[in-house]
Amino acid sequence: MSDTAAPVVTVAPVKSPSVAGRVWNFLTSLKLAVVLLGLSALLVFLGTLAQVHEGLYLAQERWFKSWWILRQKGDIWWVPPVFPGGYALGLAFLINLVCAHFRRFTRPPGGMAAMMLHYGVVAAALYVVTWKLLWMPWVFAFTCGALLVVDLVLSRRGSMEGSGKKIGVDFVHAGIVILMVGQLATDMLATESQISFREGETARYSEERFDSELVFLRSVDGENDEVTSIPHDLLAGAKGAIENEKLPFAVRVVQWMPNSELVNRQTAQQHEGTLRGALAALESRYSVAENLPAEAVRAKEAPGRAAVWQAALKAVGESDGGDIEAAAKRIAGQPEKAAALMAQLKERFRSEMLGRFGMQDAEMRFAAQRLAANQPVTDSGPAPQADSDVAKRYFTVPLPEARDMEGRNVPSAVIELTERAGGKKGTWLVTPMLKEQELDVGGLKWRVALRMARNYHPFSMTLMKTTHEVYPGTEIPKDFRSRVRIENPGLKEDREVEIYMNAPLRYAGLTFFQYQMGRDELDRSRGTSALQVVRNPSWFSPYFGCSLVGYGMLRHFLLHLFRFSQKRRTA
Amino acid sequence: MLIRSNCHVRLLPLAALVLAAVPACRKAEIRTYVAPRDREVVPAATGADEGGAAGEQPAAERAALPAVTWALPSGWTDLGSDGGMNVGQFKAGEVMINITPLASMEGQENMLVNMWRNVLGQPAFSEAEATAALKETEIAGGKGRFFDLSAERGGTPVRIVTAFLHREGRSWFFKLQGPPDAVGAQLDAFTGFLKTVKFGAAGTAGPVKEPTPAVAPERPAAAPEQPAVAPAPAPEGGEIAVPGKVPEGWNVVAAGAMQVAKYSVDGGAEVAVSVFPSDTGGLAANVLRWRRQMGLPEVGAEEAAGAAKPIEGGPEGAVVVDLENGEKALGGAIVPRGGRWFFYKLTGPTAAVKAARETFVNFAKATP
Repeated sequence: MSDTAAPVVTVAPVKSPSVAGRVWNFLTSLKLAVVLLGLSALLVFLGTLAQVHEGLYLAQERWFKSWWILRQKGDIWWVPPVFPGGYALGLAFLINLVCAHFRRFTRPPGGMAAMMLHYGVVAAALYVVTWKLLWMPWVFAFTCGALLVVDLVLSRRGSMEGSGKKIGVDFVHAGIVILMVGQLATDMLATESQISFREGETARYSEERFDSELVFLRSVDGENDEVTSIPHDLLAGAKGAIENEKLPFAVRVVQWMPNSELVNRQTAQQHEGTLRGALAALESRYSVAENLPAEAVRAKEAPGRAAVWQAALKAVGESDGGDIEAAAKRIAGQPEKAAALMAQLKERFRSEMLGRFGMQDAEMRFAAQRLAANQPVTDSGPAPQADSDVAKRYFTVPLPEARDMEGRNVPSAVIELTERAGGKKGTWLVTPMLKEQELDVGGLKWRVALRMARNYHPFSMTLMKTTHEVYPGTEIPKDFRSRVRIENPGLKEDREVEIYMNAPLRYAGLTFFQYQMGRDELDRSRGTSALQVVRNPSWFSPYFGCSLVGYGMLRHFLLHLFRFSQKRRTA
Repeated sequence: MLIRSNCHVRLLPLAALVLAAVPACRKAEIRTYVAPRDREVVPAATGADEGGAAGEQPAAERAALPAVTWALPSGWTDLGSDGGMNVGQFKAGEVMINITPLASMEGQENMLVNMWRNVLGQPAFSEAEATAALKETEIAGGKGRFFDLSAERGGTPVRIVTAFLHREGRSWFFKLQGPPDAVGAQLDAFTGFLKTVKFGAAGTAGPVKEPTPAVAPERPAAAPEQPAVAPAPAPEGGEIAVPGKVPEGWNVVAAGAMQVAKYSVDGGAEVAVSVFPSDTGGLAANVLRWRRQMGLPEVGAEEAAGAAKPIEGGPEGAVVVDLENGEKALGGAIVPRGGRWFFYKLTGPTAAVKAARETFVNFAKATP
């Protein structure tokens, strides 16, 4: 037995990282980046798929312009109970990218000051070049090339040694960060509105497409109104009274419909009468079995009617329904079957009639719905939604929210006003389909309206001329352009400009795109134009971000190319 | 300790990002501002001063017309404005003359010619033929144009001379219509009359009702009754009494747009009465319009006019037309009476229309 002791291996205890260290490791890990990439790909896939059911606009809002997606009632089976939205994934990516960058940052041999100076000068030069020259592609490319040459030469000089090695990669990352932050800022801050006018008309405001506002107007001097505007978001979710120091009353939203249609009570009554008469005639037409053959002859004259007959014959077990006249004659002699056939015919023609009415205007649709539910439209039924005069003549019916980009929601609301001194003033029905309504409060005349939200501008725009050319024999646009006159008293500006396809006007922080063109419905000789007005404070971020990314990639590639060729020469 | 403090330092950018994201969210708040009162731009979805549907254009927004003056040729009787679309109406024997301002149709002159030819049941001209049919004439000191069409309507020859002038965003139509010989006799007077027309400043005639454009897109089935052609005269006002006693079982209901009276009839049918200072394009045009309303297939003007039967015992020229399409039917009567044309329309379920038909015809032919 040997008494030699086995060598003792001392293992230093592994120090587990602190909680902050673990968080830091997690946030800067490549694994997190890969998971986020995977989730983003899945989000794009699901969000695209969701557009089939939810429509383009709603799907974009729900899946991409949101923090979380929560499963709702009525969702299709594949919608997960909870899923990170576009904003959450974007922010997580951003955090991962920035933190990873800081973690892997090493102090440059040339010193921080030299590096910052180098980075700052190149980035600032690139910003100016992009801002000034991007719109002249060749000049832009040439200037960027010159900047790159100067940058690379400086990097290889002793003074910049070490600071310029990673500038390419850093610029790529910085560009991506700018793109992501810029997109987030665009989603949250950008507004889109429209100006629609006819030749010769002047616009001082643009109207938002999706958001509405409840406005209370009070004449200031006969020419101008003091407008107190309560935005859509406050109305839709209002739980209590809405008060403002400018209003001598409190506003309570009794009912809010995100999308609705306006129905004229009297017209609906008339349509209901017509429909009721038609249904009564239908009832009498198919109440006697002996009439069936004659009715079958009449039905043969109209293919639609014949189809209803054939379906009814099939439903009562008549296999040979090809010749409806012969079938009707056969069945007329069989009381039970004839009764069943008549019931079928009445039911089918009735639903056909109601269906046709339902496809017409709001009043006909409403009349058909009420009749189907055996609820006639009368002076008091349905009960007026509000006690204002207009609400006695009109009411609104809720509609499903528009889900596509072309659809437009027409909201409506019933509001109740209570004077400050106490006491209910009354209730009003408001919708953009109704004109402003007058109300008297404390001896002052007010007007109230629910309208699409307006953005007033410190300048006016007059549509001088529209040009709308298409390629001969087609509807394909060749030239859409609006000549507008801008008058801005604040800047003593009065000039005319042309806005046309792919050539928007950038003015006063806004971008005016040529959106639609047409002819005035009443005056076909008069052109109309619709301009899309976009206010996007971060509009330049994608341009600058892309410049940084492009510049960084090119620089990184060239640097490696030079080094590679240098090494080959040395070898 | 060093590691720990470094971690805190390195978490700073994360905190900065989160903080930067918070104010980016827009907060909805109530705003108060002063804005010019709506005047120049009235977006389609919004209305103006008073309650009512936005589609009901308020008077303040209607374009105001200039005052129009003229020298009346001898033998013409000034019937005055009808308060609607016609700012002037005249009669010279059997010939009717009217002045109608419409939305500008500048650049659509050839189409105007063909529209009238269509109304008269004539085939459309080619572009060259339509251009050749347009002749120049002086109207109010300006260069106007006119076209002259003759046709047979309901077996009666008719000649229509339509002159027009585009002026300040409107087209002014001057129409001379009647039997060919009578129109020929008045042609010189008409030409002279056009030269004497003078326009005042815009707005001097006060606001007017904006008419339906002459070339309207196809109207929905539920559109209110409109005359068949343009420039079409407006229906006459409520002071026109509908002759005859309201039949038993008929109930007076609120008349719709362009109607002077309306009645509900047992069985779900209804009768509407409109009165116009002309026959609004003639028998065929009106029958064709009714056929379209009933969803019946298009037929030629001759066949359409042939469907009309004279009303026995009624005023001269009074006719009735019966149309049926499945469960619905229409009975239409056109009754010339005292220089005006009374249009009666019975519509509803076929059974109810058939049951009321005799009463309807008796009512239509009633004498004042």
